[in-house]
Amino acid sequence: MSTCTLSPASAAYLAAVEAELDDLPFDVRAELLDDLADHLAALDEADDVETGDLEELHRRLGRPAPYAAELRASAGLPQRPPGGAPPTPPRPPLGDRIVATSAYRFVDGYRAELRVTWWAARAVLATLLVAAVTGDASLPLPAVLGSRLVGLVTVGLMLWGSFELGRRQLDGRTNRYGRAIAVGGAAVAGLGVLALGADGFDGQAIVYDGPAGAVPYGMWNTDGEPITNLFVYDAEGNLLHDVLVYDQSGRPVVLDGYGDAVRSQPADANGAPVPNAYPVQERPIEWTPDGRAQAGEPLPPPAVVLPRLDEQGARISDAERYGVPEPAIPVTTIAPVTTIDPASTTTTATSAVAPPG
Amino acid sequence: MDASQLLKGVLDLAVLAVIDEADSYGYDVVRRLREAGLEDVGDASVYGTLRRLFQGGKLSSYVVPSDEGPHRKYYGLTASGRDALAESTKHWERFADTLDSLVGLDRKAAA
Repeated sequence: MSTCTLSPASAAYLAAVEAELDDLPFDVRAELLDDLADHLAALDEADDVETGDLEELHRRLGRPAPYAAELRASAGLPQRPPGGAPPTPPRPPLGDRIVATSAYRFVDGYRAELRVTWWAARAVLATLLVAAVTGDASLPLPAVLGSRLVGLVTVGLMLWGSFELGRRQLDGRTNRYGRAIAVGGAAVAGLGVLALGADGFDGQAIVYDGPAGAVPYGMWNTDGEPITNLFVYDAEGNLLHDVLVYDQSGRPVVLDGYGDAVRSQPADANGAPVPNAYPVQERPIEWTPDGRAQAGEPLPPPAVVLPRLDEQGARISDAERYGVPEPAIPVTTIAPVTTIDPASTTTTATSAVAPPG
Repeated sequence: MDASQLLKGVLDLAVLAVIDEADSYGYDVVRRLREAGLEDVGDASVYGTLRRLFQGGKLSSYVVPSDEGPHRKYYGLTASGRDALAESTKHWERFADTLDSLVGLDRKAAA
């Protein structure tokens, strides 16, 4: 079924034939008129046909009433009753009305392409399902039984089987076993999609689940500016050093420096940098006149205006504030350590404190 | 003799034969039938026949996009259509032989 533009004469002829078919079921009439519309469009385009004139169309195709009668007779449809269509034709079913919409007609025009796409998709999905059970269901080439070569062969066999089954269905050559395979295959493919989707969701859940999981990386202000450092002050306005920061789930909060500064991270007792200890010493990268990069002076803490906290609030215990009887147990001991400065061979000792224990 | 009356009985066979030669769309089927000599075949008859054969499972259809105009609905023979074509061809051969004999007898009698 296709959409086409008709000359005024062809459109008038089509409308006249439609009126002659108005007693037929909606879908039957739509099919017949679609064919006629395509035929008229082809006549309009043919160089040797002058269809701008309605009389010429009548000469070629016959008048609308005989055309419609001939169409009915050859199609095995009943002739129009003498009184024409019933005075109040019943409203066509929803399905018929959908079929008559231009959107349906547009999609239906690609029925063949959609069918072939489905055949290929169900073959790939079936292969992915087999691969998920026996090996690695990653794309573009899944590994079946641990082998991508076997996966390639499986994809090929699935495609062949799917297309063969599809062609048999199209030709009406499927028996009940073929139909069972088609329905079962569609069900398996659907389950495969759900299973693969569920796997993907579970994978994400694992990544972000629990305090021992992967570390959240990067924070941004509401204006989109990345947050590269954290400065923490106590109630007296003293800047704290080597503060360990965790989020509400107990995950370490790690910020990125975005490569525009040399970052010196406090390290633990083993010398390993502690990624969620703040503030980080940041030294901006500067360029020498001869084109070499070097770390500049450490950036000072930002100028901030500290509010005066309610003294009563400062006396509230952790048990009252958080509902926990004991303070958090430290798992990391930060020693006075070296800071890592890739742009310089010097190391700098920073003040470090062990967390309360 | 009105050829259109003769055509009515054998249009199914003619359409199946044309499509067996090559998949085709409605306008093209009409054109090929006329080029083959069936100049009186009606457009409506061909389209009605195509629809009836399709509804009967003798034909399958698919749409081919066209850059020059509307998409074209091609028809091809199904296995059932090929069987029907073979069966109709046998019937036609017997019918034509019978008529040839009748016409020949009449001619001999006239001579």
